[in-house]
Amino acid sequence: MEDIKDSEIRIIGKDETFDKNTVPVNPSAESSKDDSVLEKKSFDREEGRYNKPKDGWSIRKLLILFVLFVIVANVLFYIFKGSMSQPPVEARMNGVEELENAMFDPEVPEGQFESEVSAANTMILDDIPVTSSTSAVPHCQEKMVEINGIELKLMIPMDAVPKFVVGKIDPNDANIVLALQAADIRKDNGEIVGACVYNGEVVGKGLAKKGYVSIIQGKMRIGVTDHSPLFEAAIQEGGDFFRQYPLVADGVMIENQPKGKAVRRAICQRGSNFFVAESLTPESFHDFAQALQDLNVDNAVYLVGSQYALGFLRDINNKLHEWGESKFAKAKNISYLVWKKE
Amino acid sequence: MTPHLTISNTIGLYRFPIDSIVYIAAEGNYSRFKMADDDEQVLVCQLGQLEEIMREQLNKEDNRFLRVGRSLIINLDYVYVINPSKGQLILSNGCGVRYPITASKDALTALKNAYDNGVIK
Repeated sequence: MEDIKDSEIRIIGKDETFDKNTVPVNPSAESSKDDSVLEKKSFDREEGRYNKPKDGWSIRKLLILFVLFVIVANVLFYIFKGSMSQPPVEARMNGVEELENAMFDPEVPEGQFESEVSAANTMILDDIPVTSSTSAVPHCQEKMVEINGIELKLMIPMDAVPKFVVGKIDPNDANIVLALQAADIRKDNGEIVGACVYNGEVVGKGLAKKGYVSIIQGKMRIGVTDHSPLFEAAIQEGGDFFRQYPLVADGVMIENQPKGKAVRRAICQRGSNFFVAESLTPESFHDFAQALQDLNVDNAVYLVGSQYALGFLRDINNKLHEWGESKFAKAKNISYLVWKKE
Repeated sequence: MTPHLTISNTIGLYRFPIDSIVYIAAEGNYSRFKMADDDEQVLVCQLGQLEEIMREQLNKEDNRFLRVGRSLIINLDYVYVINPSKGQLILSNGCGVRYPITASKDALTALKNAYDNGVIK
């Protein structure tokens, strides 16, 4: 079946496509039979009459072939050149958006960011606690780790259930032990970037990013795919689904296109446990994803980064720790990934 | 019994009464079905794939579905107003429920001309 342009229409079941002049763009098999008797014709709009078609390749096809040839030649050139400045082919194929479109994650020029923690405690990787049955009081544990020179703060919600929330949340809600901004928001129109489902309702469209987080009946899943059946499942079961940049899939880091450095955050999965990792210093996507891979996470999906993005946690003493610029709390379609007491 | 359009995927199986499908709109890799009772269903399926499924399942004499550009399939039985200058198409179930949708002006001109010239009856 031939592709169709936005300016054309086609009756399903017939192969004829029409443009606004009601001229068949691609005559069907049936029409072709008729044409074999009457000779194949094409419509000359300037002359207002049908002409005999030209034999061989049309100019349009030759032009498409030429453009394809140029694209393939360029791709091959960059592959062989091994240019480091060129975004990875995988990232370009992924179609990931530049972060400039996002409201948060402004990149920080080096030297302008002062780390709040000058030295992180190195910990044994296997020392990350499991996220349940460790204490009677739901809370969020904080762990500092240093992975190949990158300092990370791990936020591990204990005995709490995850939920995706679109709209304002109250840091004084004592039931919330951890909250972080989740889906990106477009700077231009305030819409959520990428497909998004909230309580079974579709609140965002498109496939800007291939990482996903779904929470259906309290069960969180994260991963990377073009189109996930979890999107439908979220709609049908009143669950949640949003998209973000994929960072690690099945233990292997994924390259992303956006350049520059910023404070990075990610939801990470190790086995059946989920926790959030935050870089204590501005890092590139590549270095952050590499650190998460080295942390032996199975999967990791980005969350809204930068020092401006909002979030808070409650420690074991029920003390509230907040971060981010509160002026963004009223942003249209702001969304959070939260863990609440059951 | 009313014929159905049957779509099976990893989530489950969907049977849409063909008469009740008003239009199907593309949303990236997803497609949104709008039904005559105002119900909506979003499926993980590209519009091009749906068109193939419809070609396979619809009766060959059944010419009521029209692909309008890259983002829309409409049921011609519901076409109520075509306004190419505004890029607006209004579908109606005939019982007072209207479904205004937008499409390219050229595609709507093609649709109007197809009616005017008898290509679509």
